[in-house]
Amino acid sequence: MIPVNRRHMFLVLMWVTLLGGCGNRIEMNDLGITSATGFDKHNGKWSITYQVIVPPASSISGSSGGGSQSTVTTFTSQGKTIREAVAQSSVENPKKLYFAHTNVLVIGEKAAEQGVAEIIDNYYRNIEPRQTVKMLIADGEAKDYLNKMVPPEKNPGRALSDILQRDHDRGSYYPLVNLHEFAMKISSDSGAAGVPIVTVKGQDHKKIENIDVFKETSSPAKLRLEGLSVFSKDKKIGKLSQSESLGVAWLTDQVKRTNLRYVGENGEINSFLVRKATVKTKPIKTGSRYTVRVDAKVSAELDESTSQKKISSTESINALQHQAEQLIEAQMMEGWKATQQLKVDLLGIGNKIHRHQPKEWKSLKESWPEELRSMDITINVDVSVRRTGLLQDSFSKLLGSE
Amino acid sequence: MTTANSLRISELAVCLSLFEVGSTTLFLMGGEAKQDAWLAMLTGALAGLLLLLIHLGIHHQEPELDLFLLFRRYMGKIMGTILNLMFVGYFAYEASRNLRDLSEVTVLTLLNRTPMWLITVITILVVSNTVRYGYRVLFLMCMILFPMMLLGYTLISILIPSTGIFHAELILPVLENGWKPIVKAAFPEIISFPFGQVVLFLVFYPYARKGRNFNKVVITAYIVTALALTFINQLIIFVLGPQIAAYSTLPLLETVQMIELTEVFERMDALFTMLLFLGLGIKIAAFFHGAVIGLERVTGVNYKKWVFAVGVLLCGLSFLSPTYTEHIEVGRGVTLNYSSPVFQIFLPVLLFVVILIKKRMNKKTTP
Repeated sequence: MIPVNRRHMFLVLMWVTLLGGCGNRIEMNDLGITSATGFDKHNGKWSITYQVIVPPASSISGSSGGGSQSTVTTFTSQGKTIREAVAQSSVENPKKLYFAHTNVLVIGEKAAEQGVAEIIDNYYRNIEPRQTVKMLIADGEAKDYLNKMVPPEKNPGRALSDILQRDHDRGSYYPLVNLHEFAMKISSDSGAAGVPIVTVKGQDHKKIENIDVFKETSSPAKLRLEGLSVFSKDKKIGKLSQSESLGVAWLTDQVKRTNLRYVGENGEINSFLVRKATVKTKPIKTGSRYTVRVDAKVSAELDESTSQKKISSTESINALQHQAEQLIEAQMMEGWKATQQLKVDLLGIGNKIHRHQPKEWKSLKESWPEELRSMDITINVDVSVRRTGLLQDSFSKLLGSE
Repeated sequence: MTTANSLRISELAVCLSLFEVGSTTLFLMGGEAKQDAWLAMLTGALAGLLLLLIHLGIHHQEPELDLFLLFRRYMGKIMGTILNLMFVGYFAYEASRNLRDLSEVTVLTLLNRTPMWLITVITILVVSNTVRYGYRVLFLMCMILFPMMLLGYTLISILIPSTGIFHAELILPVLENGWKPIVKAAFPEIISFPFGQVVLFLVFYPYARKGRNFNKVVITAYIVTALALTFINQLIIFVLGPQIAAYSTLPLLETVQMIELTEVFERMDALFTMLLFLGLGIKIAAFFHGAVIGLERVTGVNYKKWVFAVGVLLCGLSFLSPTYTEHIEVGRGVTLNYSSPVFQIFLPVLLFVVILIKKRMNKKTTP
């Protein structure tokens, strides 16, 4: 027997344990970090576009202004399945695609109409892509949206994700949907979800594909959110406008902060900033039919006014509150009518009935879409205008009184 | 064969606690009961508590003898030896299952291009080393790892409700399909894994210091752990919803992946996988210990000599199932329903009954 020194054994064992991770080594330079991914489908074939970050140009301490290199590059690959397309990308891309930092997922309109279940399966089954990625539907092809810059932001994928976040926080016009929430909504009893649509507006769309657009003060075209795409199960079936989407946001208690404007008969305007809103939607059984009862408690502030009336009295505050209540009610009705027309349960009322009255749900399940169509809604809004800001009566009144 | 009575009761209780948590958080327990999974867990825990009481009863009948010696004395030489070997086999098999779980989780999540045998070998080397030093070291290790596991799970339990991914209404409707799916999920699956596995501790009870509150401490540790496990299990339902949770391979990992707080605390996979490693490691070490001590009792050869052999055996056994799917199928189908109840319920109850009968007979013959 060869005398085995304990120290030798220890060294050998150390090597074994330390080198165990070498099978999974990844060099940062080999990674193509995607910032956004786009999915399109033609003739049963997936066409996937990747927006990959170019590291030297994206560094903050790098060249000033736009530099000489675009911060992102895009390229597309095809395949019958999503993973096949990813594998195919290796024939033209020297870097390994790394999906973990994807900020947004853009799905083309046609692909959305054919069903997105495969995309969701891909995201759940594989460890690398995250289910917390934000979703957007493209007005057209996703490909066209991934090669557009969002000046002055360097990283368009991140910029889109930030737009979604800001809108949810400030305007609440469109919901912030990540893949997991989307999957939960469409696999629940209500089976419906809404995803914001991104579109491009402006004269010259081609120009914002070039980084020279950073040199201009006003961009010739801009990406923006417009419309809410409505899904029933995994297929897109319709579209809501911004005001309808806001109504749905009210009814699903998704409103964080938004703005309400009231235009009076004399053209005077009052603008309210909604600071906090709690909306409770409850299905109530009256006889054999259901009505939806909405109770909203909203806390707002006055942030702009050209009213000629006296604002600094309780009775005028009450009038303002009444104005706000009517506005909110109108918005909610608009959202409600739109969902009824599409026959989808965007409000999740089916879920609520299932949770609180499971026995009734069993008998309602089959005829749910028709039941939804004929459901009534009663809305109670209670707004309290807490503050009127740092000015008492409006400036217009000040001018008018001289 | 010295029973040195050198373990503190708190050490035993902590090890029991960590052992229970071990790999339970790997899976969704009571998935068939959907949102009533918490009720299934509690039912299983209650039944497991009864088993624990039986085990403690056995221990108090003969406080100096561990499981293997008990079988030898009360079942006769031949039968006792056979039963001891069966238990050794059971402990070794459970250890190999946990080893396979650890390797599979690693390959699935963190090291997906590393060959699995390498991970298995590294794990077995580390665990064998712990077992080589004896049971005292095992329990001390549990004491050391305890704050880490506690902190880790507490962090997860706090972060999940505070980041908006927690939907409390997903627990409704309660008892939607009545008690049948709950009972079906609890017996025997939840008892076999994880609550009935405390049968292993019958090997370790004699080493603990005797004290008046031995029972109290052990039972309290068990109850607290069971409640904590129920809560963590239900967190999965709260975040993923009953449908997606049932379809997921590693549901708590998915849940932890969803945590997004201030853009800093994101993707805490690594934290959770570390907790899994620690838990699984403790389980493997404990079962390994049980098997090795059993072999010492049967053959009289010092257990340190058995460590290498059993280590190799565990490695081999862990490769028994060619695919992950079969591993899970065998685990949740055959093991949970057929083989585990024999060792966890049937044999201990038999032993208890035999002990009581023999003691009564002895009392009669020696007035």
